[in-house]
Amino acid sequence: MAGRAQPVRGGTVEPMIEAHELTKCYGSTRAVDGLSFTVRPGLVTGFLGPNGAGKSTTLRLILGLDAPTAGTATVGGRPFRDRRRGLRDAGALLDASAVPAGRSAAAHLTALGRGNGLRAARVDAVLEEVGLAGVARKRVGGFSLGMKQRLGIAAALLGDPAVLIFDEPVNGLDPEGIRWVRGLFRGLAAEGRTVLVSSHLMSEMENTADHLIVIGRGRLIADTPVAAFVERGARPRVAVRTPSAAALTAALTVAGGSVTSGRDGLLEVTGLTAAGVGDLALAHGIAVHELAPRRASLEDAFMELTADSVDYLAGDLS
Amino acid sequence: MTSVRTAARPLDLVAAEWIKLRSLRSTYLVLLTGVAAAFAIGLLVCNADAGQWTHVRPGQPSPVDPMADSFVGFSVAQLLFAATGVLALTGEYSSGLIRTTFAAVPARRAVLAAKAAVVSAVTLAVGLVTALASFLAGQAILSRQHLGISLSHPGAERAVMAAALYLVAVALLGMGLGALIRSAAGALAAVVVLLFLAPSFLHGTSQWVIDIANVLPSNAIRRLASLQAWPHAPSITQAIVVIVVYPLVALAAAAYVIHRRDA
Repeated sequence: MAGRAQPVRGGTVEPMIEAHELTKCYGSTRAVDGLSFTVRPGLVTGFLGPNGAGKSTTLRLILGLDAPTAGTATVGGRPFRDRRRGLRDAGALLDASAVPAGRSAAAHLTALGRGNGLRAARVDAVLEEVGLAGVARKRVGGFSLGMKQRLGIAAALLGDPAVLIFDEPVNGLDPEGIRWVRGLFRGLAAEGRTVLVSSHLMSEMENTADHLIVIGRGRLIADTPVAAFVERGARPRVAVRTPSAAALTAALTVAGGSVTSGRDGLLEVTGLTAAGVGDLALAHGIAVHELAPRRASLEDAFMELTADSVDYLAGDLS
Repeated sequence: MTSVRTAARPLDLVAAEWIKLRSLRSTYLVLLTGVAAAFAIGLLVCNADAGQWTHVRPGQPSPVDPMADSFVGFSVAQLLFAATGVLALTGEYSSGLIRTTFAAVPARRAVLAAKAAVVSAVTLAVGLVTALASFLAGQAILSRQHLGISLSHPGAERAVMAAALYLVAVALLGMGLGALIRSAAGALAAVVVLLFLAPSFLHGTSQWVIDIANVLPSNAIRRLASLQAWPHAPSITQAIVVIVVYPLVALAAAAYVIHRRDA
């Protein structure tokens, strides 16, 4: 990534993405509903929410593709619609399948770059960077989804922008590709760029993001560092194994815990700490064979926080 | 460490659109089909007339309109030139690429203008060759029976120029409709109805039929490409105005809408 731009253009305005009371209505549906957040440089910010939460709409509002019903979205302090050459300010991968099937990868990127006054050498550089140099002259229509993702990422990198936006960039990538893209995002953030990555898969963000913005039904649910999100979101759990499951369950319930029992006398307790469970067992003279606090995964925290805002919940329809 | 930045110029956008247009096979396919249709149909019609009027002597008034004969194929060619304009925009809408384009260049009207410039230049160049070749080849065939005219005949040069400009006009009209309708099928249907079907429905001598027919682009070009006017035909000036106004109105509406609508 040598030769990339200074992260801060002109030294005055930070390349932040800011949304203020951002609202977008389609008819009576509020796809985005009073969203306010700031995406800062130097971090990978995960933009999370269930399907239909309004993530893609928000990204289009940020890039000036759609006009907000109310509120504002700015990049580097200005609405994006005012830009003359967008690629140099913000690179975006919005939809990997939105490519010109009949054009070669090189022709597609050359046209994009040329419109922003970028030199043709940049095209070779980004194609090399995303690993598509070997198929530069091939028609994009024959690309796999993973290759199209790489092409979309190449387009986002083309203008060497201080702000990068990726909408579901991991879809279709193979495990090697996923590892590569994580490294790429971290590298871009380390260079001081603002990196916003949307996903509906919490587990994806756990390994990539430093900061999370979580939305559901168009509203902000959380805007927090990843670690804080896990703590806040999921109640801590304790696993305890005992030969006297019934007796311990009764004792734990009385003490205010809630217990679910698994196989071989394994109980899962919420509402009590591991120390509390151990002390209680000792007080009742119940043997404990195993006692461990279970760290909640990001996935659990996410499910818990967004449970109320999931639009399409699989369930029993009978 | 070479800089990736150079000065921003409208010419960059024109260059970008030129790369887009020439890097798609469909561009060549559609335009070449248009050229072939104009040329081949004109030749067939001229050949048929030359075969029918075998006893015309030099200096005798021509029983056919030799100029109109050689441009008959433009009624088909116009659809393919219009399709070139339509596809220049709707191709990006149907693939979703338009969002990539407008995120890269948020000044959407500048993109539209650059596309219009490139489509104009390409269709003008191809259109001039098509018009000239259709005219010269057609007249060569007709001249075997002393029916043909030369390029120096009054109105002939104007007809060739008008035929070429007409192809540019319909391409820009197609592009404007493509921007408004955002679907290739919809915009092409509109083009076919306006340029191809409407004139065949408007036959008669009622004043309102004549009034409508005279503001149709296809009648305007028919007038400019004919040696003789037919009853109630539009004037030369009126015909030129009609041909110019359609693409201007379509592009103006497109420029208005493209800026306001969500991409």
